[in-house]
Amino acid sequence: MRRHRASILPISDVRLPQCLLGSEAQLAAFAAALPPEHAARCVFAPLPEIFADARSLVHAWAGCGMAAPATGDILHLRFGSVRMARVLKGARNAAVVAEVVRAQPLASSGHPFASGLHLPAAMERIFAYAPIAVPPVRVDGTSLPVELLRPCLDADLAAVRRRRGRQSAGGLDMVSFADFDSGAWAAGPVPGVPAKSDVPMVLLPWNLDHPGSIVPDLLARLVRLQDVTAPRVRVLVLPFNYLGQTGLIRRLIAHVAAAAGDRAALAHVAIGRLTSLSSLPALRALSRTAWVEAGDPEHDWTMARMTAAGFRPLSLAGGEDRVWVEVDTRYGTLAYHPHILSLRELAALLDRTATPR
Amino acid sequence: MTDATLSAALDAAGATLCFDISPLVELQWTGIPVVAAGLAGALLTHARAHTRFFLGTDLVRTAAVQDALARGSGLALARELAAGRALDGRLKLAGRRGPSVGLFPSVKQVRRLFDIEISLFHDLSTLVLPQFHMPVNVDHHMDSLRDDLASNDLTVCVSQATADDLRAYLGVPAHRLVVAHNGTHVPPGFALDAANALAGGGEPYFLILGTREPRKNVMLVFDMLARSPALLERHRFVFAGRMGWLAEQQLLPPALKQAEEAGRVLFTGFLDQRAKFLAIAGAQATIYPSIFEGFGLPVLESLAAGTPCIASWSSAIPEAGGDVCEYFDPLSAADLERALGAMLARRAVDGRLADACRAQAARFTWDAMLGAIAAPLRKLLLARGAASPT
Repeated sequence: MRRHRASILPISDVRLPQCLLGSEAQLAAFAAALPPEHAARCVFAPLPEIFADARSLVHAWAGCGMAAPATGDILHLRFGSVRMARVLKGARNAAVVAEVVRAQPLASSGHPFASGLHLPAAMERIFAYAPIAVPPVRVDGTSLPVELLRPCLDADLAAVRRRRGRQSAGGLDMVSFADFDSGAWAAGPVPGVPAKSDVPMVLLPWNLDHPGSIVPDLLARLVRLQDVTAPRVRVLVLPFNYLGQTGLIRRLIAHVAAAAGDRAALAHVAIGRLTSLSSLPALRALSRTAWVEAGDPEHDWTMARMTAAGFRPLSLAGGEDRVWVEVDTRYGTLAYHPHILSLRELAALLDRTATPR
Repeated sequence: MTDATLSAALDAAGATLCFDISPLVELQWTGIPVVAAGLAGALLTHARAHTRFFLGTDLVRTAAVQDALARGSGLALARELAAGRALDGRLKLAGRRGPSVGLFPSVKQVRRLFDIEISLFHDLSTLVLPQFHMPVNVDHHMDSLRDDLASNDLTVCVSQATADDLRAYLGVPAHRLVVAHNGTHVPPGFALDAANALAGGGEPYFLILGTREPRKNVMLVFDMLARSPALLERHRFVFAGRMGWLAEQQLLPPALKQAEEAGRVLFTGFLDQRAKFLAIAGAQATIYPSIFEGFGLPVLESLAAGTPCIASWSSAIPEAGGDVCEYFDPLSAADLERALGAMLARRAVDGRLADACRAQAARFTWDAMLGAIAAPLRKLLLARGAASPT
C-alpha cells in the first residue's frame, strides 16, 4: 500500500511514484496542461473516500495552507481505473477514464465495483480519453454522460522538452529481478545502471490494476524460451497504476523465477520506473521499443503515450494460446482466460525486436 | 422515543422483536460485539417482555444472553450453545397475532425470515477501501451487502458518515436509512478501580488503541516517533490491541527497537473491557489514528473515561469525538505531532477538559441508540396496520 504525505496536497507538490504511464501519468499530464490560475486552486486527494463532510475537508485543506472551499464548489476528478473510482462526498464527482475495454473475469467477486463496469451512485459524469466500448454505468444501472477529452497526452512531456538541457541524474529506477528488494523498492529511489550489453532491451508496461494481465505469463514464457547465456532481448518491466503494491511485484518475480528454473535468467529481466520525466532521455537511451499488452484496458492510451514519449510501441495482439490467470485481488480471487502469444509467436516477436531496423 | 413507547408500540401491534445474537458468540468483544451487547442490554431494560434472542432459526435463552452480557465475553455463551443448553427451540413465527420484527446487529445470517427486518451497518470500508481488508473479509461483506439492503425494511447506520456512504456509493434512498449512533457505558465499579489504580501516579504515557492492521494506521505513530524520537523521552507510548491482518507490516521499525527494549514503547496485546478502561484512564491522552471508521467506538471509550483523545478526522470519527478531540490528518505524521503538542498544551491550561470529555461521551448511550431505532420502527408497525400505540 502506497503511503502519502498528506490527505490534501497542492498539485504542484505531488510526487508520483512513476510518471510515464497509467493514472499517475494521466494526472501529471492533466496538471501540466492546467493554466497557472487554475493550477493554483487545484489539489490532489489520494484518498477522497476518507472525507466525511466539510469539517474534515477544512482540517485537511488547512494542512496545505489553503482555505477550504464550500463542498458544493468542489469538482472532484478521479483518475484511475473504474474499479477504484471513489467519490468526494458533497463535491461534484467525475471519473476520468482511460480504460476502453475491460475483460470480464470468469469468476468474479460480489463487490459491486470489482467488474470495472459500475461507478458509485454519486458519480455524475465520465470524461473519457477515447470512445468506450461499454461505458461504465452507475451502480444502480443508470447511465452517465460521457464526454470525450481532448487527449491530454503530452503537456507534461512538452514541459520537459522546453526545459531541455536540464536533465537530472536521478529519476530512472531499475533493478534486475535477481536483485529486487521490496523494502528498498518501496523506500526508493533505486537508481540502477544496467551492465553494458549488446543485447537489445525492450520495455514492457505492466498495469497493476489489470488482474487479467498476461505480463506474468508472457515473462514466464520468455525466460523459458531464451538461452540464459545468450538472450535475444533483455526486458525492463514498467509497472503502473497504484505502484505501491510491491506484493504484486514480488509475486511476479516469484512466478517468473519458478518458470525460469535457473536464477541466472532473472538477470535479464528488470523492473523499472521513471520518477521524473527529465530522465526520459536516459530511458530512451536504453530502449526505444515497447511491447504493449493488447488486452490491457488502458492499451490505447499507453500506445499513444509511449509514441508521444518517443518510443516505438508494439501491440501484442492476438495470440494462439490461452492461459488461465487466477489472481487474488483486493476484491477477492478473480479468474481470466486471456489469449497469449504461443512460444513460436514469441520467438518471432524476439526476432523482430532483436533485429535492428 | 422512550422505552415506554417502544414497549407500547410492540404491545399494541402484538409484535415480537427478535434480536440476532451472532456477534455475541465472539470470544473477545471489541467493535461490533460491543455494539450488539449494548443494544441487547438496552432491549432487556426497555422491552424485555417483547424481546426474544435468536441464532440462525433457533431461539436462545434470555438467561444465557444475560450471562454473556455480565461476563463481557461470548466464551461461555458459545460453549452453552454448542452443548445445546442455551437453545430454546425453533423460532415460532407462524400463527402469531402480530408481526415479527428481526433486528440484526450486523451482517444477516438469515434473510426474509421476519415480517419486518432491520439491520445495522457499521462501516463500508470493505466496499470503499477493500485494499485495507483481507479478501476473505471483502467477500464476506460484499456477498451479503446488497441482499441485506434489499431485504431490510429499515437499515440502521451507526453514523451519518456511513449513511452518506450508502447513498454516495450505492444510491440507497435516504428514507430507507436511519442514523443511530453507538453508545458507551462505564460499569459503576470501573471508575473506582481506576481511581485506586492511579492513586500512586506513574510515568506519563499515551495510549494508542486499535488492532494492528493497515486500516488502523498505527504505522503513523511509528513514523512520528521515528522522526521525533525526543517525544519518547517525556512520554511512553503504549499500544493496546491484538495483532491483525498484515501484522508483519505493522511491526515496530528497527529504529525504534531500542525504545521498546528501554520500555518507552509497550505493546499490551488485547485488553478486556476493564483492563482497557484502566489503561485509558491512566493515559495523558489516547491516540486514534485510524484511516477509516464507521463510528470510532474507542474515541468514545476514551472520552467516557475522562481521557482526551487525539484522533484522525477521517470518516465518522468526528461525529463521535465532537469538539473535545484534537484532530489530525491520518496520512501526516507531522500533523499528528502537531495535534499531540496541541493536546498537551490544552491539558495544561484546561482544568475542565476531563469533564468536557465525559460530557461528550454522555451524549451517546445505548438507550439513545435503541430510541433512534424505535422511532422509525413504530412507523413501520403502524404502516403494517397495527393499532396505534398511545
